[in-house]
Amino acid sequence: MEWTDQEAVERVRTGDSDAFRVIVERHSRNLFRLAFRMTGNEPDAEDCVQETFLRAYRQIRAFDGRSSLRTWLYCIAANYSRDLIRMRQRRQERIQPPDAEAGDRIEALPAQAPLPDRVAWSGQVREILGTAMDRLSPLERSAFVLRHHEGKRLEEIGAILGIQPNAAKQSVFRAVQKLRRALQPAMGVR
Amino acid sequence: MSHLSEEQLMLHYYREGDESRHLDSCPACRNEFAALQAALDAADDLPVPERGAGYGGEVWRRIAPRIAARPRTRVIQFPRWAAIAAVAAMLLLAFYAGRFSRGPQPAPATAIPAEVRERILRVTVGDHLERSQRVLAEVVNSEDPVEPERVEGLLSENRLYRQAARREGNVPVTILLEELERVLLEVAHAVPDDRGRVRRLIESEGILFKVRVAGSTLRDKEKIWKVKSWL
Repeated sequence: MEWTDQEAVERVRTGDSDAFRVIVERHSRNLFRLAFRMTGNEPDAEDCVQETFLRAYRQIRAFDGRSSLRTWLYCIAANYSRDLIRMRQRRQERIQPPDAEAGDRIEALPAQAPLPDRVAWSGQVREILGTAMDRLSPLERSAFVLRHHEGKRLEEIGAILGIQPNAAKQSVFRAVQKLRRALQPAMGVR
Repeated sequence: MSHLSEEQLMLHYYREGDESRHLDSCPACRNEFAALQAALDAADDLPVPERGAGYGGEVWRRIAPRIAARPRTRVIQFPRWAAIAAVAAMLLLAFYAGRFSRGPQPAPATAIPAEVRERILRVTVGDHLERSQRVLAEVVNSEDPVEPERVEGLLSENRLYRQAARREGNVPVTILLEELERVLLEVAHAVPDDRGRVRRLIESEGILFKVRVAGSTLRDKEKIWKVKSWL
C-alpha cells in the first residue's frame, strides 16, 4: 500500500514501526545526497542518514505537520551534519593549521585548451572546490548546500537551520564569496 | 550609474532578486555576473556517490533492530536495583548474543577473533565510560567550566565506539553510547548561561547513573575474564 508521508507518520505514532520503513525507503537517497554534500565524505554521510532516521523516530510526536516531512528530516540531517563538521574542523585545527597555499596550486586554463587538459582542469577545479567547501564554517556550508544544491529559499533555510532569513542570506553570501575567491586562480575571474 | 553589489548578483543568480533590467543595460555588471555564474555553476559538478534504488531498504535493515529495541512510550521509573539488574542483563545478553549469533561463514584469516574484539570493546568502552562519568559529574557538581577539549575528545571517541558497537550488533551499548553522545553534544555546545539546562538534562535522562552502572558491569566482566585467564 502506498501511504502518503502524513499517513505513514500517523501509523508510526499509533505504534506501527513498520510504517516507518516506508518513510526510510522513500527519503534515504535524498538524505544521503544532502548529507554527503554537507559532510563531504561517505562514512559521515551514512552515519548522518541513519542518525537522522533514528532521531526522527524518537521525536515523531514532535512533528507537527506545519512543514513537509522531507523538510523536517532535512532539518534533523542538516543540524546533525553541522555538529559533525564542527567536531571534524576542531579536530583538524588541533592537528594541523589551515593550508593557505591550496588555492594557488593550479593555473587558469586558456579558453581553447585541448580536451585532455580541459578534463584535467575540471578535475582540479573540483578538487579546489572540495577543499574550499571543507574550509567553510559549518553554518556556511549547510546554508550553501541548502540554497545551491537543494534549491531552498532563504526563509526555508532559516527555518531548517534555526536562524533568521537574513542570517541565512549572509551565510550563503559568505560561502559564495569564499568559493569564488578559491576558484579565482583556476577560472581567471576577479 | 551605480553598479550592482556582489550580494545583489548572488540573489539574482538564485532568483531571490531580479536585476535583469540593470544587467541588460550595464556591461560591467553583466561581466561580473557571468564570472559569478561560472564559479557557481562549477559547484554543480561536485560529484556525489550514487545510491541505488535498494538503498532505503539497506538503511532500514541497519536501523530496524535499534528501532525495535527502543521503547516507544514513556519509561516507567523502576527501583534502582531493578535498573542495575536490567542494564547488567542487557550487556551480558548482548555479549553472548554477539558470540553465538555469528553466521556460518568462515572468518577471514586476518580477522580478529570475536573474543578479542569483545574484550577490546569491553576495555575501551569501559575506560571511555569512566572518563565520561567524571566529566558529567563535574558538570553537575562543579561551577567551573569543563575544558572543551576534554568534551570534544570524548565526543570523537564516543562516535567511534558507537559505530564499532553498531557493527558488532551490540544494541544495548549502541543505545547507551547514542544517549551519551546526545548529552555530550549538549555539554560541548552549552554556553555559560546553559549550565542549569544541561544539568537538568543530565539528571532527567539519568545518563550519569546508566553510565556508572554500565561502566561498573564492564569492569566486573573484565575482572572475571582476568581471573579465568590466570586459572
